[in-house]
Amino acid sequence: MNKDYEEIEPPVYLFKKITSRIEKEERLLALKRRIFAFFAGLFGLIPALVYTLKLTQDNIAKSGFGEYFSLLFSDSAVLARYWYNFFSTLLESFPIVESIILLAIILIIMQISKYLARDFRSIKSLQAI
Amino acid sequence: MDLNNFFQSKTFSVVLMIIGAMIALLLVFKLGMDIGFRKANFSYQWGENYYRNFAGPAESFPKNMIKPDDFMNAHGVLGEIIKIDSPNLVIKDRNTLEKVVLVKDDTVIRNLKQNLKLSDLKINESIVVIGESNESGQIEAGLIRILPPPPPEKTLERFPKDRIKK
Repeated sequence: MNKDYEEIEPPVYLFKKITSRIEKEERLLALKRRIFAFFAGLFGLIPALVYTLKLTQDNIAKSGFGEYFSLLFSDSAVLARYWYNFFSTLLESFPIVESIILLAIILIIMQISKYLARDFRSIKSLQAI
Repeated sequence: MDLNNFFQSKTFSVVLMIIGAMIALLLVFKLGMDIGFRKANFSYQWGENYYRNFAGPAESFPKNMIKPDDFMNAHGVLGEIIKIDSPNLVIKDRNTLEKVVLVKDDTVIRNLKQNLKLSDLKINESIVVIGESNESGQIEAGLIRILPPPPPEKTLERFPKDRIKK
């Protein structure tokens, strides 16, 4: 019986096929883990985005930035004379810290979306092989 | 356009770069403001304590009353007129701080499309002022615009008190 087994020759590319399949599965697993991590990050960032958006909106209302900015449309001719004071007022009333946090969150969400799209594409191409 | 192509596109990268640049710009601006505040605070404290440091204790206002976030807007004010004392106006802003606005001869006072005079202004009117601060801590107004009165609270409109069942 042992003799019979010894006589069976494995196909030439079997080893390569097995290793490439294992490699593919490992890559798929790594991609799925990354996608899971990205989704977790995305779900964590969305409430943070909503909260910061609300905070920025409140501070814009409190500082009067909207009212100062609206002068640009109603009194542009007068403001041309006081442009320096007007832009200084806009900068002084602008909620800087909240805006930095808001923009940073948007930037991270956009980056995550970019990586997610790339990873989904990689998964599709791997599964097609 | 495929979603993946959009995310890999040059336009998307440019948008990301613009947002990054805006964050950097705002950070630099904030840093400049903080450094400016520290320098101004140090100069103020130095001046306030000059007598005490060199000639002994002296009575004065409590120190560090103002924090960086409480810094006042020096080129404009938005609030309600609480006193008219020609040529000055006392305005209560949204942080309930009172500021004095100096109305000059060339100050433009506007309501909708009309040009008004200082005597046309009334107590409790909401105004927005653009101008420049002077050495007396006043704002020399360049433009004063009267704001429309705020709308009545929607809750009260929708549920008048006499119609709410107790």
